[in-house]
Amino acid sequence: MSTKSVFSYINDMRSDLNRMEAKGFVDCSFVAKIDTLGSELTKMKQYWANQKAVSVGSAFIFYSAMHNAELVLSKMRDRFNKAHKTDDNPGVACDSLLVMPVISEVFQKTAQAAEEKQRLNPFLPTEMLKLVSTLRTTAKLVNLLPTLDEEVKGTDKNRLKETAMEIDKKFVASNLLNDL
Amino acid sequence: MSLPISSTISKVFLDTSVLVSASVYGSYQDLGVKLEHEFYAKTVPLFDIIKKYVDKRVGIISFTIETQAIAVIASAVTSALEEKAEKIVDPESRAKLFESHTIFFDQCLAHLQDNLSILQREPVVQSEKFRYYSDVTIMYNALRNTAKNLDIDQIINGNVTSRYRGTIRHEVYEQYKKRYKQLLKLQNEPVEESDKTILCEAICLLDYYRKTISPGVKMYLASTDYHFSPCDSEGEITEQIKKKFQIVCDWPDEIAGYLKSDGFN
Repeated sequence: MSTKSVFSYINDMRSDLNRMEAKGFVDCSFVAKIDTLGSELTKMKQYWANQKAVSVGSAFIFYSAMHNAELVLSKMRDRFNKAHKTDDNPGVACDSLLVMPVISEVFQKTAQAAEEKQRLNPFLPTEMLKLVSTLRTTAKLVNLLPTLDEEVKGTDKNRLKETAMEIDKKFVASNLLNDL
Repeated sequence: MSLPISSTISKVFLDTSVLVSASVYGSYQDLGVKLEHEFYAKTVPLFDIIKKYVDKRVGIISFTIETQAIAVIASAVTSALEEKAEKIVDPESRAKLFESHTIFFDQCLAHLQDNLSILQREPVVQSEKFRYYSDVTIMYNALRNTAKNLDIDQIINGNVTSRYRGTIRHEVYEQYKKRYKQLLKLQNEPVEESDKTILCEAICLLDYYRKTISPGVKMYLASTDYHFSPCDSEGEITEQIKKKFQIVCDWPDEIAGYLKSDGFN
């Protein structure tokens, strides 16, 4: 799917959600659309993990943005699947409507960065960090952000442990530098 | 049960360093790993008070602080990632590496969000902020000059009689080094523009609170940065900030102690 197609796909999803909200009824076939969008985000995420034309730091920020958008979609999928059983009808559609514009913007800026690469606007990674923060805050408010335990599920635990310890060392090292 | 009412109006402006220290921790029970920022424990008593008295809007930050905190956490995570990623070419391994880093980053962001939810974000007008910029710059420049001219040997010669200089020189030298630690640090690491901005914002907010809430408002600046807070002993920078701008700078656990004295038990 081209970037333009992804945008129109997101817009279609927003229209679907508006309809569900107006009718007060959740259409569970919407899950297929969440999956399609999710696979586009995964592709973009993989692109940034292997992108060498920009600094690792910038690539990580865009990767992380896609990862967070994926997380929100996974929670959305989960709630849509259970909506009829958990009396989340049309609550999940209303909640999803609040996060879709932020996901759209996150994707738009990530796609823009992918186009710019070496000519990357230096302010874009910082803008993206703020946007990721907004996405997480909004998603958390409407219960569309998985818990950390849910996020950690399925990841390589040993690598996670190793990473956590390395980052911890970084913080300690920077503190020691301050303390010289 | 009603909370005790504090008669003093106290505000604590949190520096980026405190917000970062309070947000960088991770607990992975499955893995038996518990990590936390070196200064995390020092932030706990302050955040406990801020949380308890959330309706009094004790803890304050600005947009600058919030933005810097996210950037600092991202920078630490990416610098750890950079070292590893450069050696890994295999796409799958690289993806796993990015994934583990983003999970830790997400956890810190989640803690940051929780912390931000109990802090009052105050708007600071750019033009207002820069009204104080020259005063702040002059103060730090003067302190840097003092630091540059600081000669411990000369101080010892001026204060210790020649008879004792030889025998106690090493001990006295260490004492003076400790006494002037904040200035000695300033010799090597000049104040950053971002620190000056933070101080200008704190001054601006104190001015605003005095005009709108009460002339007796007490303002604290909680920081783990020696450009504001004392290191081990009394500090010239901390003293000057208090004298010139009536802002008390200190470590977060110390600020928690001041708040208790102000009635926030």
